[in-house]
Amino acid sequence: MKKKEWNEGLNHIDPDLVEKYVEQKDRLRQKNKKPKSVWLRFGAIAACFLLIVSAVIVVPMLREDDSGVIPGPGTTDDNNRPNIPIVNVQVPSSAPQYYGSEATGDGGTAAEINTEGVSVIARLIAVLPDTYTFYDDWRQEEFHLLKMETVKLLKGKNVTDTFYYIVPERFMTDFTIFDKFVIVDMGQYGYEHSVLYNKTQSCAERLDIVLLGYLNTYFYFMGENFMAFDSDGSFDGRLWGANKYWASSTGWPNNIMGQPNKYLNGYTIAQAEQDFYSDDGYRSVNVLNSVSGEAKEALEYIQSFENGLYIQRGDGFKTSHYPSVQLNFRRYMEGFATNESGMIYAGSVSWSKARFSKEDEEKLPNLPSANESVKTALNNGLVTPPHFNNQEKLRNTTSGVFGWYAKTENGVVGIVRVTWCFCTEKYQFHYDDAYYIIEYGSDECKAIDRDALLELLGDYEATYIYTGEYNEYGKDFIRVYY
Amino acid sequence: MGLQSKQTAKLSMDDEKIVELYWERDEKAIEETDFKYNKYLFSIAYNVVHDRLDCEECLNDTYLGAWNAMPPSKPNVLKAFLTTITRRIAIKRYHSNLKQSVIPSEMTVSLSELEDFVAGDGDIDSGFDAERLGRVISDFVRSLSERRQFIFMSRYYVADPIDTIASDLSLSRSMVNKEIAVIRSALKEILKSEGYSI
Repeated sequence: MKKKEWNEGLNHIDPDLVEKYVEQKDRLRQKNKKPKSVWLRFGAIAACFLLIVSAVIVVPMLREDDSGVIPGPGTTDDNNRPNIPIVNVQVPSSAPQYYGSEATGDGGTAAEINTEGVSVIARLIAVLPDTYTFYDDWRQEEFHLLKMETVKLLKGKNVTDTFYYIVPERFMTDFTIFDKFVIVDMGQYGYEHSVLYNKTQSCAERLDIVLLGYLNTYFYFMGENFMAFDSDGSFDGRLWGANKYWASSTGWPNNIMGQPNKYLNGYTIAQAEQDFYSDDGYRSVNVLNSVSGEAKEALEYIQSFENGLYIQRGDGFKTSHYPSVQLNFRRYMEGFATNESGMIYAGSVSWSKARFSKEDEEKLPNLPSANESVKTALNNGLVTPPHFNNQEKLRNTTSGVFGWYAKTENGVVGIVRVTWCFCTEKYQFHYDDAYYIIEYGSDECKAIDRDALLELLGDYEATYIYTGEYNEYGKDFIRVYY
Repeated sequence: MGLQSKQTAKLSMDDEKIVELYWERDEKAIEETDFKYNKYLFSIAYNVVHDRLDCEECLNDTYLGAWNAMPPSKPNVLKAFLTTITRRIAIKRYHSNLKQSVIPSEMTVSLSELEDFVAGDGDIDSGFDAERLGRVISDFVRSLSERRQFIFMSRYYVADPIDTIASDLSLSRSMVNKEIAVIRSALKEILKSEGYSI
């Protein structure tokens, strides 16, 4: 047996055994130190109480989740699943295109932002009045966008002169009272010209400049990476004291910034500049500069796509500890991903079969509207999991909508995927998904079986489509914690 | 500013409250988890990857994993839940690092103890069923005495050093080694009988 197999087997041991081990260990440590605290007993009682409360409250909720398909209006597919009429949403077709002056200097601008943290001194230009959510974020957390101007780059290269910064609703405060901000370890959310859901206006909206937030793929805002300074260049603690969320975030600097106290006592923007200045961590720049031959040609091809239509995925560049010479690119169009991609490895290049032509670009289906319409239908109960038919009391925990363009033999289609996640009390997760397609000029988003969708794609890349077996649990049984 | 007092002595929050914070999508959950379990989780990761920076990344990934898992998860024992996540992440990192060099970690030592039947750094075979092996190991662990269960989990699940296990159980180092030898021998037989290549 291989070591990896052994460890993978251990990863699958019964969670009860891990719980027992942890409790044994705690018990032994307590025993070796001092008599058992009454608080542990209280904790056990509280845990029992929580279990009882869960049983009383959650079980009826589980039953509610067993509701069947609510028939919707309009046409249906062969399996009697409702197709979804498209309700057009407002997506500006001529959003202003803005790039930083350095943006075209080196291939993979978005890649660099995407793969390593960017730190800047920035100034607030405006706070956008509306609130937004991501389409594919099942938590649907509302956030605001701060339009920022890059005053000085501390870490990273080719950062745009302006960018939007994501601030969750509960972190909102009056940002206009501060002169400058030091923002550490930012990452790019999505890609250039992301299409977000404008919750205030109830419509899709494509952003005109790059969207940055705390470096993470997920919504993981921690206020401590965002420091305010007054016009004298002194640390302005009013931001971190703005509300309980900002205040609670200041504990985190212990982990990522060293000593939090120094930020509260006479800290200056000049010191911050020194603390957070870094000229390394951008190995992708070196990789890009050193390539030649077809790899160089490929990078030049990618670079010629303005507005970040090609972006580098995070794979292989996740941390500074893992150098990689493999560059993975995916093309985005009109704010959505596509099944067109390219990979550069050790000087050679491979492209996907799907390559979008100028004609394709001119005949894109109305995916933003389709995406939004499916989302609305999902919220209204018109879309339900097609495979999941298990009678256990499982909670429907998440559901998300994700759209992309796919090139096929018969032209480009927009695909919208709905994903559900169910969870047992033992943290066993089950997933199911459904697919919809929209064609150019169509005003209906058609339900399509996964197999039919794969057949439609033929030899073209079935990106984002589940290709395994379905069963009564939906997709293959998955037993993982996250 | 009124923030300085916050930096003074702080008590750990109850696990139930931390889990509630996760469910309320309150980022303070991360802070509290870090405050309470940083050292413990760091040791779990360090036993495996033996690199401080890697450990910090494992911990950050653990917090992110916990954030993404709760909800929907509502663990009965938060520490066990976090242990599992950290181990998975650290093991993944371990095998990734292993491709480049030998990792001088306790995990490497504990794996070397099993080299009679666990050897080879290659990738997982296509037909390999991790869940089945997980069940076999679980059944095996349940068949052991309480003390040996603890030793097995300490040594092979979280890769605790022998000294730590001896200290936890108030045993001598040689006694722990003897117990491990017995466990190893029994495990080898079980795996053999279940058809795993030795």
